[in-house]
Amino acid sequence: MLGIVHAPCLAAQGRASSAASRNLPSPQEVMRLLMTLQDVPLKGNETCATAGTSLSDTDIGDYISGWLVELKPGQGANWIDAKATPAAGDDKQAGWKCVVMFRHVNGDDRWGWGVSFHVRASDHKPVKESIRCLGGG
Amino acid sequence: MITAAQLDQNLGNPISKLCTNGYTDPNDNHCAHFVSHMLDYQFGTTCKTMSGGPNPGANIRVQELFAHCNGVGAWSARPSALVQCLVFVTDSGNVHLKLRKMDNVPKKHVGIFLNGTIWHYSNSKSQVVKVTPKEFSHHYPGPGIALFYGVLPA
Repeated sequence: MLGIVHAPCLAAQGRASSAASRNLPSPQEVMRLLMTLQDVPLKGNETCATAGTSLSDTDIGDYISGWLVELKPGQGANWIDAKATPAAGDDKQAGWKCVVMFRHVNGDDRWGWGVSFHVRASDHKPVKESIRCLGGG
Repeated sequence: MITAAQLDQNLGNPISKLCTNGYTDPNDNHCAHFVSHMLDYQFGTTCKTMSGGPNPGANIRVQELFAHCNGVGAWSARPSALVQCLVFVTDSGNVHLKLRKMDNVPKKHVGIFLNGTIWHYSNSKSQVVKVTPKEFSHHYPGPGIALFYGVLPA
């Protein structure tokens, strides 16, 4: 009985998974999706609460802006990594894990800070609760 | 208490030899990560948080280490009896001693001070090194760069 129930589910998951692979957001789309999350508060988020470049930062918009302005000219190399990979969300729904990292290398002045978040394949919407602030140092 | 011999055993090691959670990208900054693996600081944001590895995580953020210290101050004010502590280097404008907080700015670094020597993770060399406090104070160029001590978190 379980097999009968599961078979269609697996088939559906397979279709969703392949759809997720086909519709993988481009780096530009990943950046656009990130911009829709700017109002997500840092406070209460385990990985974001202390990640702002200023103690007065309150939301993801502040956090991202703070790191963008650190990509200064003439001081080593700066770049932005933006990518999406097929992944299920916490609710097991198919979609993509999106990662955006701002990076800098100039000798020992070396860092990478950014975010990850989940985007549902069903409606191409980012899941606010999935956002995490990445980076160390 | 960690010993100089234990720290020396890690000289020259890349972060991949210290971290079993796979948070080892050489483009990331591993100074706090090294300190936390050496001293077993598992609070806050850890390598396990980032990579989802199978083992206990170690904190990876300088500003979180600073906030967890049991006392902080300018290096020049370090009590002479404090022979083992954390040592931070950044622009003094990023440090709020009364609040025991440090801004999450790019140019900040941390090491372990023990009996006159500092062990830290050189991100440019991708290995553990040891230096004098004077050398550590020149980790970043600039007139506002200064050292700060932090009494080891419990």
